[in-house]
Amino acid sequence: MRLTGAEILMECLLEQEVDTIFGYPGGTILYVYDALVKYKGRIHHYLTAHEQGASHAADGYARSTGKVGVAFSTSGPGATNLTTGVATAYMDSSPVVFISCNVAESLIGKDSFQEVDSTGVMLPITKCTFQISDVNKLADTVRRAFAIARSGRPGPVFIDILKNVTAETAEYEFVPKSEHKKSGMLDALYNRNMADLHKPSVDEEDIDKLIEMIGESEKPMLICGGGVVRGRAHKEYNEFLNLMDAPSAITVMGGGGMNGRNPLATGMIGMHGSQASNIAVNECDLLIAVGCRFSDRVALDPESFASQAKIVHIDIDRSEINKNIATDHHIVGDAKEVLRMLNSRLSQQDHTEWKKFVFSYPTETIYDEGGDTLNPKQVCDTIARMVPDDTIVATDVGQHQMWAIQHFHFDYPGQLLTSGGFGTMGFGLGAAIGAKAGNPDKAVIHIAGDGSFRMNCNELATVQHYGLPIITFVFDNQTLGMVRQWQNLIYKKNFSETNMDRGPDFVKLADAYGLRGRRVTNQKELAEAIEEAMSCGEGYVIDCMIDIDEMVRPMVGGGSHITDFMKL
Amino acid sequence: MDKMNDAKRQTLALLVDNEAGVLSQIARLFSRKGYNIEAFSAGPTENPGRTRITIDVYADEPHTELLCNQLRKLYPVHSVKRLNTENSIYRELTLIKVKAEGSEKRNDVMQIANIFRAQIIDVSLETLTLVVTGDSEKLKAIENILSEFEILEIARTGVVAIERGKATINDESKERGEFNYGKNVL
Amino acid sequence: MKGIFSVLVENKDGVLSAVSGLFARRGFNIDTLAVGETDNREISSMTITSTGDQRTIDQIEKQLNKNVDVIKVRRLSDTKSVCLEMMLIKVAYNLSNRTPLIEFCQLMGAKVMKVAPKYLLIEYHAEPENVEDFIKVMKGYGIIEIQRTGTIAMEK
Repeated sequence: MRLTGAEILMECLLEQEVDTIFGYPGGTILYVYDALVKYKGRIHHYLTAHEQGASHAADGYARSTGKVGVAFSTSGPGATNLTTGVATAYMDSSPVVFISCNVAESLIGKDSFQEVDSTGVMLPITKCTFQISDVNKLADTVRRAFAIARSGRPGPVFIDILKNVTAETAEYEFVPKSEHKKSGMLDALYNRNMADLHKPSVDEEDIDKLIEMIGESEKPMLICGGGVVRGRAHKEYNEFLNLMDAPSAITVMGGGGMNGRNPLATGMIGMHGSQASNIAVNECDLLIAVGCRFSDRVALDPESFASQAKIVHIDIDRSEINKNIATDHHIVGDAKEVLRMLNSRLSQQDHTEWKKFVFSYPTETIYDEGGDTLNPKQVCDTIARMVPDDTIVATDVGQHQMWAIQHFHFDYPGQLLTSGGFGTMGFGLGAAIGAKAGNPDKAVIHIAGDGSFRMNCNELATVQHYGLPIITFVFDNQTLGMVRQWQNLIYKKNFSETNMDRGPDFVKLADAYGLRGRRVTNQKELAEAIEEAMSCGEGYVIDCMIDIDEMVRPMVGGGSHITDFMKL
Repeated sequence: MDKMNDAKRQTLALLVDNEAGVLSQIARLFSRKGYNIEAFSAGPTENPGRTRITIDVYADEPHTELLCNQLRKLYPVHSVKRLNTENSIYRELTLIKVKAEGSEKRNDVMQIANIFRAQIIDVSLETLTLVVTGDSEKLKAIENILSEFEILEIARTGVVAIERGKATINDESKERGEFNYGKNVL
Repeated sequence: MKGIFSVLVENKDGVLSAVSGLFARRGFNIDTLAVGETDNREISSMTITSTGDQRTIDQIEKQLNKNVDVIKVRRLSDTKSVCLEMMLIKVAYNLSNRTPLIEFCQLMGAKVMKVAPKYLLIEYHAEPENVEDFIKVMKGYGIIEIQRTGTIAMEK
């Protein structure tokens, strides 16, 4: 079949079973958008307000569905507007294929209108980048890009297609997804390590050694990281957790990797980790971290982290082993597979004494019952009580993000969408749009701070246009709360440029976008607003007023010992 | 961990795809981590699809391992091997242009060249151009001696190294298996 | 046509990345790249060879000159310069072809550095074309491993 490059691209997306794309058109990608019309009904395109919104939406779609997300942009500013979203997906290992078109081959390298070295810009923030200058290589490259995005440790891949390629024609032959690894470059990629792929991928000896270590341990501790979520290994992890009978913490990325209501859950670990988590890690004699990279927000001080324990690191990415923390043992492999192998060999453990010790410390922050005002826990609890248990929660970045993870319980991968590694303010609304697009049957809420929401609130236009019933909760403390908290504690209360004592009025903003909204100051109003929001069937903004000096507690300073809780 | 503590010169041998942008990707990895490449040499191999690269860098033991790990993760990188003076042979090639006016000076330079088994490949009235091969120390030595005359220009290739014995860059190891797993489960 | 550039750059991190990135960004291809120290610790010398039409090669020179870390760019012509490349190569041999192999090496001025039970380790330096030819001959014996430096060049 002879097709244009743009049509081949569409056919390749269909091969990958892509039915949802987020994007924004422009000069160089016009042929692709031209072809898109022919595929109406099979490929649904969401036009966002900004390329950044599209990038976060594709990311949120990928995180919540486990499929590969796709975003389109034009060249130059279109591509650079994607970058924040690309880096966000890269840091959190989210499989997204970003597709941008560049100027025609005759104009490349000449600083043409809207030209930028997109692949050069994307190189450090993607797993892989491709520039396609030959229409005959288009299909093969797209197949390769998708395979790389979802393989091993997932991550974003960037494809830059020259404009002339989208107009030129080539022979296209449908190749079903299951046959991709036998075609073209993928075949070569696959063949390169054929011997290794035939080997059992997880080393049996490594598993046996860990079983032995577990047998010797009296005070084991587990950490559930983002790898469990990306590997969709929550069932295996829950089983492992119960067999181990040991406390387990989550990292920010690990939310949803285990049953958050399991009595063995100690909550979050690290800078804003619960006392139970941080103390358990400090006291344990065996630490098993699954799919966690010991970031500086988790390990804090790498020298003293879990200093009494033998550290075992289970990760799919070999280069993470011994990167941030020196480990005693490691198993390289997919979390699901490793855990399944461990579960089949592990006998039921019993650590009653150790559990009693760990759970004598609180797993959640305790607040005074306020008067007629809202505190973060009250907001979270009210929301949790009123929305369905499997509601998807997308957050922005800051205090509200920590509160959401501290007080909500997440049960399955993709329930919590948050920018853990890159800390991208403004991530939440786009991610919520992507999640709703991918999970039309589930409720989706967006938790934001007033600072974060202001960054990408333009996507309310997308929420309104596509009739997406996303409820945005703004934790409105009229300040950049997390920065203020640091200024309060570390910068001698010098509150430089963190006051948000200015517009917009979020309720009026919602109105301007054709949505409803309400400002609430106490639990009763909040409950009424949620009631109304859930029944109205469209986007809704709830502006929750909280105190400007509210802090995320507990807190351990960056680089400090993990149990050196600050006095707040 | 301070990067410069116990830092010493490390030699890495890489086998990579011969594609546009690969060198840039590798160079960027070093600069992103703040390492200065002391010497870098890239040349084709017997397989037209592959380039072999030798990189010299100052780093301590754990950081060198980290760098290797990061390199192995890149898609175009097929294998990475650390080489050291015990297990490998190092060679470098230098072109040196020396000022040598008059027959007396010319003779002096030619004698030095003889001692170092350097070839003289170009002679003009005022200059001599020498080519020397050897390990870095030998090259340093001849450079020092020739600096008595005026050295006009030097071009060095950077080190190439190859392992002694049967081992080659294509060898399998458990670590390599672990990398391929993470990289290529499609 | 072939372009040979001798480039003096600051010896600091990121320079190689900037220079190779420049090639990647403009769609120029690098054939070989050699970076070595100079007699000055602060300065490294790079030799880059590239293939392209006249305009491309001119562009490369201009773009290199524009980079702040580049101290000096010299374009060398292959007729007026000495171009050399070195390689280390392991070549397999057996009893019947060992003598001709060693004789060939002597004829070409290649140094046999090590005679192992199954292979020879040879050092050879010559002009790039000759290196290519040498490899072609060695292919007949069986190449185990090869390592080339990339071209370095100097004006005569």
